[in-house]
Amino acid sequence: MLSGLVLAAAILVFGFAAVTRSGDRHNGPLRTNSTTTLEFGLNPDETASWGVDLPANPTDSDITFVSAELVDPVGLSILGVLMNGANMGGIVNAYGYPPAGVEVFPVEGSMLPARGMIQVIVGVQLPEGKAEGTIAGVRVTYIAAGQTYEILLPYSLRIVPKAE
Amino acid sequence: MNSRLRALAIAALASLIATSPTATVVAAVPESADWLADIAESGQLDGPILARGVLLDTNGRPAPGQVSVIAWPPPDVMATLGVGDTVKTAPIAKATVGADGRFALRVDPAASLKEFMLSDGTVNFDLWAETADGWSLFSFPRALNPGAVPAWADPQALASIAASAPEVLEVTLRSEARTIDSQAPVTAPAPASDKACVDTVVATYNGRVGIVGEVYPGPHATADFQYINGSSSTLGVGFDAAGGPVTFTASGTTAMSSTGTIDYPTQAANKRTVFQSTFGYQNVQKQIFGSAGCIQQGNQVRPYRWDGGALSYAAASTPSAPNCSPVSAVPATLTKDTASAITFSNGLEISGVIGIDLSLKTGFNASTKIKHVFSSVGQLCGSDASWPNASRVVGK
Repeated sequence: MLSGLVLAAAILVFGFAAVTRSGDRHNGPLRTNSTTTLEFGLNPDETASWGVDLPANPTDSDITFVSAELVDPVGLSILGVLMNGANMGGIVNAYGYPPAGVEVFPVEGSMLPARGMIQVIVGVQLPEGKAEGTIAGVRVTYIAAGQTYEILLPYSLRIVPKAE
Repeated sequence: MNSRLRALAIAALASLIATSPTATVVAAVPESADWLADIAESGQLDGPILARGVLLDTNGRPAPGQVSVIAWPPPDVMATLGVGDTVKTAPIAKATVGADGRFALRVDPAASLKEFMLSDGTVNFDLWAETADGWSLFSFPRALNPGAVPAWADPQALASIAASAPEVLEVTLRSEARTIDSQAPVTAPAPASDKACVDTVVATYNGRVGIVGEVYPGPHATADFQYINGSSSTLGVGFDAAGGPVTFTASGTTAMSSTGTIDYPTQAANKRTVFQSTFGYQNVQKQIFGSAGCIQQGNQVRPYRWDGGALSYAAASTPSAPNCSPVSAVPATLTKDTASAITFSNGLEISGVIGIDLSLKTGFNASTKIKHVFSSVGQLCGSDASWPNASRVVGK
């Protein structure tokens, strides 16, 4: 019984430390808790781009991106994940991937200058026979002031077959 | 062996508790029989700062004095009170201010805040200050952000995209001259709390109209605004230190949530519509636990309930929104909450009874939503950021 008590106490102590470290990783300068959903239709032979806005950089220093991962993509063919140029305007959505007229770059190494704005551009296609395809959000990892942080963008996408 | 294991377990648990984010007393609290004796001086505490600032006298000069913070019951409790009822508030922090006027307030860990919390953890506070020549009051909501370093934060700031860390409330309190004749302690009715003076509801002003949202769908879309159960608003508080009928000034805000849902009618293309709801306000006659005991000091007009009315009017113009993103694959439906909402400085109409209108900000949680349905190619634009993070959005 006492051994169990010791084990429980140890789990609590180490668990607390783990939670603290995880919290630090999510405590970076890029913050949002607004949520959005975007829904539109696609034919199976069409591709589209989805623009996912990051919050503006509130710091006085550059932010460098490491990766962008899609959260729970279901029923979609993912054509790619890129970033547009900082402060070059964004899109809500567009047919085609990459979107025509938008300069895009790999996520890794993309830079967001102080006070600047940038987007993740996600390419999608709804395969034949799928009733819908969804993405629940985008998780972006970045480096600010030498520290690595992560932001979960609670912006979701739903693609349905285009109505006749 | 068993006793060694028990000691190890207790030591480990003690270590955990010692590193938990709770305020702790780091020095003995000096005895003070005269002023909020049950509350520890903030200078003796080592917890997150709830508020700090400078105390000024009626001439605007830094001045010594006393500042204290009381917690207000949540709106669902206030809604049970009628005219003549007393309000159970509780002091939770105090600081004696030196000649430079500077103060920092920390919540006494012995003061329980549980009964004062809204469902989201927000507590509505009043900051009272007393100088030799007057009083001042500032109302504000705060919630404890339990991050790696616990901090008191504005519930709106916690939702702000710009906030890199919760900011401590900074406030300058300028005293208003005492104009009520009785500076001497009055004989108070039986207090609702053994640690508090008595505040009494003296009037209610129900059905006050306030702005809760707006839509500008533009030429290519329709727009729908939903004020959903749990939508959060911060509403202005008025204070009249003199106790007169028309000398109120704005003195901070109070947070409250809707207890029902309004789905306002969908607005057609090119409409410019401002949506309103209604709120109830109470006029509360204040008593302050000052240096001379409970003193009657002015009136406070503060919101106490959501009345649920649904109104709207056509806006004269469309706000500036330069941060545009094309919507090229249509038809498309875009839904956003209003987590980054805007404050309408005169959004709450109450001048008919207190002489001034008060501020209103709705949003800062996920319960208030705007839906745009684009039927042809257009743009969705944000006032201060791209549309997901903007406080105002406009279709073009």
